[in-house]
Amino acid sequence: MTRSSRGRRRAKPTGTGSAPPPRATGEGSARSEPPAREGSARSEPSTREGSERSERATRDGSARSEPPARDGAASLPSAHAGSAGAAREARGLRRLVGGLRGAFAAWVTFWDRREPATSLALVRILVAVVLLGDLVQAYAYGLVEAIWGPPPEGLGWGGQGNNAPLAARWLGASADTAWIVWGTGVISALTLAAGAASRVSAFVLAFTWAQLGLLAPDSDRGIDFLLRGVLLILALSPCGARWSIDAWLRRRIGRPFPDLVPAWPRYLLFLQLIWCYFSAGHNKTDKAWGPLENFAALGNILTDPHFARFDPAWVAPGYPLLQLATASTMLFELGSPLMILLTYWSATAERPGQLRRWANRLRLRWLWIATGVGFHVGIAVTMRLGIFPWGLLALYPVLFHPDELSRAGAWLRSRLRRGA
Amino acid sequence: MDGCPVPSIKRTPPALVPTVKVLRYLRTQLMRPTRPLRDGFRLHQTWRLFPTANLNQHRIWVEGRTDRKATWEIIYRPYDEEHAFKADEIEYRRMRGAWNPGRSPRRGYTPFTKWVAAEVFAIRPDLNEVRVRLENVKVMPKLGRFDSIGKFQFERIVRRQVPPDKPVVEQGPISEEDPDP
Repeated sequence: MTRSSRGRRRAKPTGTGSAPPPRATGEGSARSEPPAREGSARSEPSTREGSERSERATRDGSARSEPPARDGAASLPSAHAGSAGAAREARGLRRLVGGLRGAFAAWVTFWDRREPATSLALVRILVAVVLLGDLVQAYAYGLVEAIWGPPPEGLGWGGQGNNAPLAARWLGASADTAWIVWGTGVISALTLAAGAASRVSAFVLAFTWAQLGLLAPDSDRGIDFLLRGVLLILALSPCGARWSIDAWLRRRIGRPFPDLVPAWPRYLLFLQLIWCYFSAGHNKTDKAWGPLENFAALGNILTDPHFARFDPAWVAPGYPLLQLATASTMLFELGSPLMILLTYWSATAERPGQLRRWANRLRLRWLWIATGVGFHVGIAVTMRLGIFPWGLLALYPVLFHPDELSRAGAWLRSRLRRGA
Repeated sequence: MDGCPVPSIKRTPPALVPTVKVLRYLRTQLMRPTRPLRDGFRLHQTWRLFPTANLNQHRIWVEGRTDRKATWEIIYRPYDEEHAFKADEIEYRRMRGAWNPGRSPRRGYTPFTKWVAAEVFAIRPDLNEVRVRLENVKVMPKLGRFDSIGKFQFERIVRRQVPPDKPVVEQGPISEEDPDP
């Protein structure tokens, strides 16, 4: 990640493309061109030019692949077949080195892209609100000591023994410790949502959430694992560059955040979300999720008294729809890696390619996102899974380029104004 | 790498077991440097959302009775509006994590039974014993219901240590399941 490339990215704001490889690849291939130019120069007979070329190659760092003596031999019209083969090999090697260098440059350029902080700020706020909601719910039910306190009064058996978490080692396994850790979680979730010391807040919340999970391992679910990873990425990102007390303070002291911030945290969160779905898809090993048991899984789950929100009487008439929903879920989860391609195609819509054109025309990217939203809203309505659906929906802003979010915001504002 | 779907040894055909063992070993070794971060922050990359959706499920029952000769009275059961004691609390996701079983009860199950018994004893001074158990049910989505198969698992009984209005000498022996007040 060179200073010059960073400067170049700053100078040239990103387009509306919302994700992966795109234009950077183009730059990479452009950089791999030089070897071909050098190759064409080889046919010139002048030894002076040959030595100049070798000097140039030395500067490029590719001198090893092109010894001057061989160059001289290749320049003779009567060169035999062996030297021609060696020259071809050298040319191939140079192309390979150039290609690798281009690919590396493209990789660095890709991860060094800049964009407005809108998506990251939204994720920061939504994740913090979801986690705060979970802690407040535990308090409202009077379960803070019951869940994180040590047995026999509480379920927090993780605070005992040799592998006790740091909170229990520092403060002792007690109901007071449960309250302290819970309180730290509430404060850090509040400050993260408000964007006060955003990075520190995200780190403290990730640490606190881990301590809560270590104190009461049975109460720690998959969504907690996921959101801890998200918090750590947020802690390393400029997620407080927008809609935050941090941004307000920095404006006041005359050192505002730059308009464009690194995009890599959003890309990482994007990949995390995609992987989460894909992993959930290939871990569904029960036959009820597949055609062998007629896609019965969602019907079974919605009749399970421990998870279903409503009396299962409604499941029977809706059973065929639930089979369809089960198949769609599998398609959605196992097909999630395609979202990377769909996003790339959407960001490079002007480029040629029939598949790209059809995918964009059919709005497959939007279809995938809408399916995901429907999937989670459906879960929230019909199952009692706590913060799971909301925690995942809180990550959905990373699926959009900040420019898309800004356009959506402007559209919403204009509609509201018109309505008023 | 962490989420790479390397199957468990139990689920692997015998011919592939050595390969799977090598893959698992490699993964452990490659991930060793990240282990402190992984353990300290409780992170992983293997996600399971309802990996199994069996027809055979459970239904929790919380019951109480006044003494050992009395019949059990249902206090809480899912989908039973008449017996919905502390339903929100029991069904809260973090609490459910302790009592909803996988193939075996979780370690937090016994502390859960003690917590729920303490809550029952606090509200119902007439009750001196609380029983928590899981009914085996078979879900029948095409019929829109689940039926009991007549078996219960993971039964725990918690007894009040000092029943009200009774001198201590009249107490029966305190069971092993109830060492604490």
